[in-house]
Amino acid sequence: MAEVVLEGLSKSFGPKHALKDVGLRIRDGEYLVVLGPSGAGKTTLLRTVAGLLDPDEGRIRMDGRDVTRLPPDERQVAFMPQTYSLFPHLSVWENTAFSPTVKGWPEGERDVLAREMLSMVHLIDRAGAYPRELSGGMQQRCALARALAADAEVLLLDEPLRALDARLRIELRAELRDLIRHVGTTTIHVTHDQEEALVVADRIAVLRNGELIEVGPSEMVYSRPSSPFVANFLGEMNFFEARSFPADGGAVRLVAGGTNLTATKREGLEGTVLAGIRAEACGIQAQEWAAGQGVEGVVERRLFMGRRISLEVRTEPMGVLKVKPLTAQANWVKEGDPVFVVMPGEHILLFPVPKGGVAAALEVE
Amino acid sequence: MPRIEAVGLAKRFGRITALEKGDLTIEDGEYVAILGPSGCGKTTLIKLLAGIWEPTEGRVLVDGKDVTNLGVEDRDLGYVFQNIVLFPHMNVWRNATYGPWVHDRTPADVDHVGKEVLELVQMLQERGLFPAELSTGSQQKVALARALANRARLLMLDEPLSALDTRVRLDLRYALRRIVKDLGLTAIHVTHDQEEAMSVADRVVVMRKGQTVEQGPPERLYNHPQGVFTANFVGESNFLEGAVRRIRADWAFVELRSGYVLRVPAKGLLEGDPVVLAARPEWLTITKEGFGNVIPGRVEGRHFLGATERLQVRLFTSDLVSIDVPTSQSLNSARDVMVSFHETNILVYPRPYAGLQEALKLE
Amino acid sequence: MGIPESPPEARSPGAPAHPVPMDWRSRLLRAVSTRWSLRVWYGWIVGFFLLLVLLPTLFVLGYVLADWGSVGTVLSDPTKSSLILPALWLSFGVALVVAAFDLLAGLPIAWLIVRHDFRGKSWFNTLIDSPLAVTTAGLGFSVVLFWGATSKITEFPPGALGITSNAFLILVFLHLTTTFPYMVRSLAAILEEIDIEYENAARAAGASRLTAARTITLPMFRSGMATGLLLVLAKALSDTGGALTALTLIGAVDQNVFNGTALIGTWKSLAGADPALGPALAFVSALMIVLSLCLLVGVKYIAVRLRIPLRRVRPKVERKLSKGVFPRLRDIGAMGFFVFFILIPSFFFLLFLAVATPTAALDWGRFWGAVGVSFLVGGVATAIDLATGVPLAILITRGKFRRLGKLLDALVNIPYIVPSAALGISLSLFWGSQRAIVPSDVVLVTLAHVAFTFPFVVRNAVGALEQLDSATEETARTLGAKPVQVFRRVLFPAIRPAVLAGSIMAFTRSLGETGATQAVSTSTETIPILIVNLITKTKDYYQAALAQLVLLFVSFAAILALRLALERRRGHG
Repeated sequence: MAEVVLEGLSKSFGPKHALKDVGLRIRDGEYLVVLGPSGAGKTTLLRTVAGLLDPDEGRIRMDGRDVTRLPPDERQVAFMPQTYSLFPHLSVWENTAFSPTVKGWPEGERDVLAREMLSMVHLIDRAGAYPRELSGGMQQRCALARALAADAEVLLLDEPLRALDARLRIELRAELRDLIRHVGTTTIHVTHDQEEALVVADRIAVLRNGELIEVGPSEMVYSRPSSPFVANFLGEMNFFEARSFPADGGAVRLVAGGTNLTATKREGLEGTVLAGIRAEACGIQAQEWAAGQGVEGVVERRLFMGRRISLEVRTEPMGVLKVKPLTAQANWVKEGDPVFVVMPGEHILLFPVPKGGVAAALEVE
Repeated sequence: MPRIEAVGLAKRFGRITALEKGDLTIEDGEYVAILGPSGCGKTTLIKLLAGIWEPTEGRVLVDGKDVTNLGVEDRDLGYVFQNIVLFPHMNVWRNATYGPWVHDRTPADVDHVGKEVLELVQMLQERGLFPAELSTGSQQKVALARALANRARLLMLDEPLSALDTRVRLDLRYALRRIVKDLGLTAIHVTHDQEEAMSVADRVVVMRKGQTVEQGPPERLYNHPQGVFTANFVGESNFLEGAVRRIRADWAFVELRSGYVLRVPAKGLLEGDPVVLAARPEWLTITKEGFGNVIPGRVEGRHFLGATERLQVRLFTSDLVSIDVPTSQSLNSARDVMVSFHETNILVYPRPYAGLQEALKLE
Repeated sequence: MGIPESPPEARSPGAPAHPVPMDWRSRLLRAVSTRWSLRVWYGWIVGFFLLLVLLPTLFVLGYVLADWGSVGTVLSDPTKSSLILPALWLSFGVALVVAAFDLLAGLPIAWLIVRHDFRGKSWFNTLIDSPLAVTTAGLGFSVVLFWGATSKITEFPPGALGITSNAFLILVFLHLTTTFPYMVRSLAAILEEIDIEYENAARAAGASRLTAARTITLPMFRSGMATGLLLVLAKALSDTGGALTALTLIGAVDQNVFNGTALIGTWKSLAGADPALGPALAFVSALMIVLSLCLLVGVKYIAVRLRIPLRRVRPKVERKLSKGVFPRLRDIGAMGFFVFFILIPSFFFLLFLAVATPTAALDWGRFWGAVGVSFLVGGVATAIDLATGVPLAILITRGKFRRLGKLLDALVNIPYIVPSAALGISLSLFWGSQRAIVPSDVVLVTLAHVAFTFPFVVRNAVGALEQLDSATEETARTLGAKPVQVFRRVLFPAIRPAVLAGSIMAFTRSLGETGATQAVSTSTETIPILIVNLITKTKDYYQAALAQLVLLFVSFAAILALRLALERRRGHG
């Protein structure tokens, strides 16, 4: 369990800048998720902290100790790669006990630790099996037990759920978080899946093109993102330009395409702004029962997604809006229906208009 | 538009049965998703339907004609592979036009089709690039173009989106459905992601351990799943075990652990039946009222999910349930709560012989 | 999620990290794991390779340039110089023709082995490898028995064709038997790596099997074909025992018709009496080395640049060819070629043993003595290969400097492609010029054997290491394993099957070598030299065949052991 501090980390591969001046402080016992699209530099960051890559610039400190130049075996970190990399010629037990074995622990203590970790991940009854005999979920748990048995100060997880089926991912992510919280190790977990990030993280750090563009607790990054990119990455957004005027009580009045909206609890921005609201924050109502602020439109497309329904609504003032209400509330909607899209004031986000245009600001690849 | 049928189709590898003997019909113009966990036989099924593998038993019919003995090269279809499998030594254009090229179409025809399909997937600009220079999302788009280039009416997709990032997957889902519907194709789409299956398909076929477990339109499968496995695999469900205590008119009273009772629709139930009740997280609500279909419990965990918050509540029946609450209605630090079960939004199933855990197991 | 589960056992957070024990083992481990000691170790490995393998191999080039005077004298002597060019032409011409036929027939057979499952497949696999069990001298004898028309053999077994005594043809027939298994193995190895989904994707797009193979699989195959070609060319160029035996038996030697290695072999045995042959030997060796290096570069270049004509597709024709009788014809044709041109000629000497009358008894003392020498040399050489080759392979694939790795990888090919007889000459010149250390004959022979068997171990290890995901080793390091521990516990177990295969290839290669042994020392008698001598010097054909038969059992035992060991490894994971 250690505090990890990253200062000014930079790394380039030829002309490509994988990391640009990344600085981060991770508290003792914290579960930090580094979130970002593929190629953003998340894996590079993780591997640098693990000691598998030397940064071009910058420092890494653990509990104040400068470990930047230390080889991985001297850093007290445990790294779990995307494909788990279980040692195929060793059994589940031998895999789990690997770290204490190579570190020269006495057999008794090593066995106690291995047994404890395997019991924790519910794999103790498969201790004699070999990795190729295990299902995906079991392999992941074995890899986790092996990482925890390393008694490391920092746990580094590289997309630990990516190799699993979608349904399994949902089940195991909560389990993963609970297990690690119990043990209390400082953890850096890398992923591109924002739902996963929200579920497991204490804090989320968003990485894009090698730069750290936002860090904060999940709720803050979700509800008060600092940029349109982060806003959109954490949940599909609708963006539209509006002119903003101050209103009472710290609220802001927006005029977009002839529609008046009030955004509450937002300060500052005046003039022309980029306003946005999440698809899942919008409500949907029949036009004749419309209440609250919003805009009228016609449903162009409807996709059933289970818990939610995904709608595309063509509106006059704001073009096509994506709306994702809960199925329970929107079961009645059909393609072609005239509807009213409710846009609650507390969910409207405001940003300065991005220089290169909205599309470029949101680009993921 | 072809109609494709599997009749008594089965596949065994030595002693392992990958696909149990079964039938399946996919109608003209239908978009069918075949959904299930790893190892359920869905990839085997689609490879048999395409003719990439030969069945151990059974036949495949297209528009009534027996094609079982035809190799895939003689069947009129397009196939998109899970691992994309673009030809690495050919650029985007040559990959996309491979089909017409091996059919020896005229250069003018090849050119026309190539432009058409690449335009459709928005990859025409990149026609000179090689697969290694593209992102996985772009590669899969080219693979889709390649599958469409022979103008086949039947499109088979084997986990086409599994190799892609979440965001890219979402975007491509819509594109897939739109293209299939605009071109009027019959499509078979294999996936392990239930949300994906429900968003793209007209009908979803749920498979497990080599067999079809249930099938139907996405909404029916979600709102009225006919078995516990589907209830858990498609979307999420909370499960409570109990037994029918009394039946009055259309209602059954099910007694759970510690004596709590819930009122559920009595359809097909008899007194004394051991049952499993299922309710989805968004069907449960937190209420202040102490009467009706409520069970008290204690909040053990609370997780921010964005637009909703997920509460883990330990009911006094000692079951742990998940409840989704809109973030704006967040309860702050309330610990003791009443969980309300809406009578008509509870699913009732007979308790499985082998036990609930076994019936729900994913692998 | 609704399924009641027991809560995970709590582990007290904040438990102190375990102290590291400091016994002698751990101290030693830490000492050898410092960056400095690793550098020293790798420096020694690279040094060994350069000084004891590469330099001796190429030494003769420098020698020839330095001593051009005596070489000039040789060239002006027509009795010697007129033999050189035709010999080189024979060597390289035969090698290229053989490679072409190997490729044409080997490809369908490799396809059969990899893509199809049929009963008796593992027997078929062993059959393909079987000619490797016969020494090249034995093959030379057997091939002449089957194809050759010569007065030197008085008793021909029934079924002998006896159609030619042309040196070129006989050598082609000979080298088909010595090289075919290598081609099939290389092609099969690459084919296995190509995911069958590519063919499936092509077929799903409407291509017949033939079109799919031609337009998709074959182009992806190119590097594999280059490797196979190199292997085959190297083997054909290197062979001495077979060439000497075959050329002697058809009377070519009497008429002064030689190929490159036979020339070296013959001159070497005469060099004791005629010292002027020394520079001549050096010259021929140098020429062969330079030409084979050119071949190496040439093949690699062509493999990268060559575009197999893809332009025209004839779907109807190719579709017809993909179905019905044609694939069967192709398979039967390839099998027939194998049986008739390779299998029968390789083992024809057994028929000879059955019908011929024994002339004199085999000197069993001499025989087992030769076996002892061969096994000693082979065993020690293989052991040295392992000890130095595996670390070199690790340096090549996992070293920090990619370019150094690539360079070393290319350099390792050199002792491999260079004809071993020429290598032997070069080596003996090198050590001869070192006044201080003159190793004994057996040591020299062993060093020579190390040189040309070294690449087998390195290439196999490199292949296995490249396939291994480096994430496994990285994970091990983050779990606290020092580099030595990573090697012992993670790397080596994973590459063990490939290394084992490489060692067996190295060992059998050493057992079969004639040219280098002879070039280094005329007094050491290994098994192949024994057989060559029996046939060419004392005309004891029967004894030679008998000796070869006994050896057959020994080799079959070795190959079977390899297969079993590999299967067991695979089962174990």
